[in-house]
Amino acid sequence: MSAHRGAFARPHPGGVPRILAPAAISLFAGLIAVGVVSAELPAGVTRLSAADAERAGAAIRVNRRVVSDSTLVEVAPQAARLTLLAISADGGRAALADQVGESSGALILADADGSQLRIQLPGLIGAGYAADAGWLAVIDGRGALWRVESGSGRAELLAAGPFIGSPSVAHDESVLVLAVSSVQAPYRSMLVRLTPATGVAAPVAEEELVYGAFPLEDGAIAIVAHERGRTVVRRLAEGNDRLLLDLGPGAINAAVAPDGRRVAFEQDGAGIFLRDIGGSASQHVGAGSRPCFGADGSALLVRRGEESVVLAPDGSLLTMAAELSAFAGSAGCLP
Amino acid sequence: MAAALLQLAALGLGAGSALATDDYTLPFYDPAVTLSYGVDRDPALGRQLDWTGQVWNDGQPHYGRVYDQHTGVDYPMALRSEVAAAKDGTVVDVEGGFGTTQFGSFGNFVLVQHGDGRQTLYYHLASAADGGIGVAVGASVLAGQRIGRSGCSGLCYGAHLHFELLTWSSGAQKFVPSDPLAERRWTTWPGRIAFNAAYVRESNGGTEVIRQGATITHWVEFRNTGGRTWRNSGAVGRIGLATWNPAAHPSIFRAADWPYSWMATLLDAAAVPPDGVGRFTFGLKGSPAPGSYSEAFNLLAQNLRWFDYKRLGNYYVPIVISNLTE
Repeated sequence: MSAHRGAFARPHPGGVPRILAPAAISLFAGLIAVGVVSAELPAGVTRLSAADAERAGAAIRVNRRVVSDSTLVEVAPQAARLTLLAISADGGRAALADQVGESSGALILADADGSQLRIQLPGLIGAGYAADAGWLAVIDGRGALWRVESGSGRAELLAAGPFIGSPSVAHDESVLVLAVSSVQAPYRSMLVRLTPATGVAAPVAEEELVYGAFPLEDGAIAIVAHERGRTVVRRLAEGNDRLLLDLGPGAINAAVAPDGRRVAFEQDGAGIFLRDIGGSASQHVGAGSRPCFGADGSALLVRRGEESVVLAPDGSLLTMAAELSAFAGSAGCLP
Repeated sequence: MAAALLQLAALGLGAGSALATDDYTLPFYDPAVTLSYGVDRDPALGRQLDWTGQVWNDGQPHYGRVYDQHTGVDYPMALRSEVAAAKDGTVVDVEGGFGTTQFGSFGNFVLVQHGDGRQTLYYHLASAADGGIGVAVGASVLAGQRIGRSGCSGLCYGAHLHFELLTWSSGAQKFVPSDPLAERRWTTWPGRIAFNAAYVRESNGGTEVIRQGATITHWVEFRNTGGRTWRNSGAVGRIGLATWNPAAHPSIFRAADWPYSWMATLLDAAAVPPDGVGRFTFGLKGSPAPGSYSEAFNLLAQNLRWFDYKRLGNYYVPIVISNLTE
């Protein structure tokens, strides 16, 4: 399968996000009542100071701490049940969704100082911050890709897609993203690089079902892909596609360490396993799901029910973490 | 179901439409399952063209018709319901590692390549550990064969099967979704599962009285209410009448013409198409001691699938063995 220009060129009929869903209207009205809506913001965008958010019962705390040489970011919403979509590289900002999926929802950009921006979009699937956190690439509920400014909340449609997953914004502001056959049934997903200025999406790898992409320290990209019933990890560098690991059937949610030396994954509901690149044996590190590596690969953040934990590679517990946690700079991976 | 049938009748569709025999059948076994959302045939965001030809400009979901950007046909069903191949083919890909209800971007699926160049996709399946994936890559499957069980893996908001019919596009150089409902394939017919039958009549609707040691001939007719042609040949899938309660038990009434101790007969005719009536003729031998008995029978697609005994009409033959000997 090859990506083609036409797949990403469909215009959005409205040109702008659908902003006035009933839930949004009520929230909007409520925020007007407490005097936190600025007339200078784009329609459908609301800004809350830390004090306003506390007063409205909608505070979101973004806390950073160092665990095993990696910056762990914990996000604690005051009330609503939210989904963490992205963390900025410095760990000072978090993007959250009040609901993931096709229904109209709010993208919430929470700052470490307690302030927030709330932006209505036609559903939400994933997001990724640019390196300087000045903007985010956001995938809405139907798979369209948006550029959302962190400061103003202004949203610009980049491509209709459909795309899924967590987009990754490179230093040149191109966006690595998964172009899929459909949002509901992505049995095919190609890793493409979208250049916002031109709207052109070029395939990065030939694999037809890519589950995730992980930028590595040396500039290469590791991809986790599906190949006829099996899950494999490949390394892409300068057009060179090399098999790193064959994880076999049943391995899911694989994450590659930033140094590219080991992979963590879930296996058949049996918990989290680690395998070194070049190794053939997997090491069981404990229960959990959706593993993510810290910056130096020496810590592993995993979900366990309603909480998150940070494990050492030998499976020992380094620290407990809030349910909504992620390592700063962990592009392409959220537990 | 009734509403869906009326809807079809109003559109002039249904049994009278030009449908190819042995084309695609519904990818499950319960004929009471109906669709929730069909394919959006308009690629523009916010505008939908549903399987009846109606256009919607609101971008909103419309139950029984369509929701925006949808590439398949959704059939709500309980978790772990059996899922069947819609047509003969070869399994070209599977994924079963995701949890049965694991929410996320990706989920479990089976992809089947068919002889007509098309593919069918069965998505949101249960995990492999939960029986979601019943076939392996490279396996040959027959229409109506169980290939897995339903789930709600991936981007799924309620247990259902997402079924896609894919056609190769030479322009795009890839498989693209087409709409089996709009194409008036067998899947257009509510209730048209692969194997289904309804009782019509039999040679003796009352009690068969057999002299001890003697053999009598009995026949029964069923209407083929499924989507596949019944045949009486081939190692797999030929239609036979076999003992029931318990399934495939050796019968004490086995006559010399039975192919197996548990199967009374194969279909009399070489082939019976959908909506046709098939007759099954077999002997019953009065071997047991004098007394009153009954023998239950069900239809079987041999080495493939039993029919639904209740929908068949709970068929059994009351038998009395008399004291008179030959």
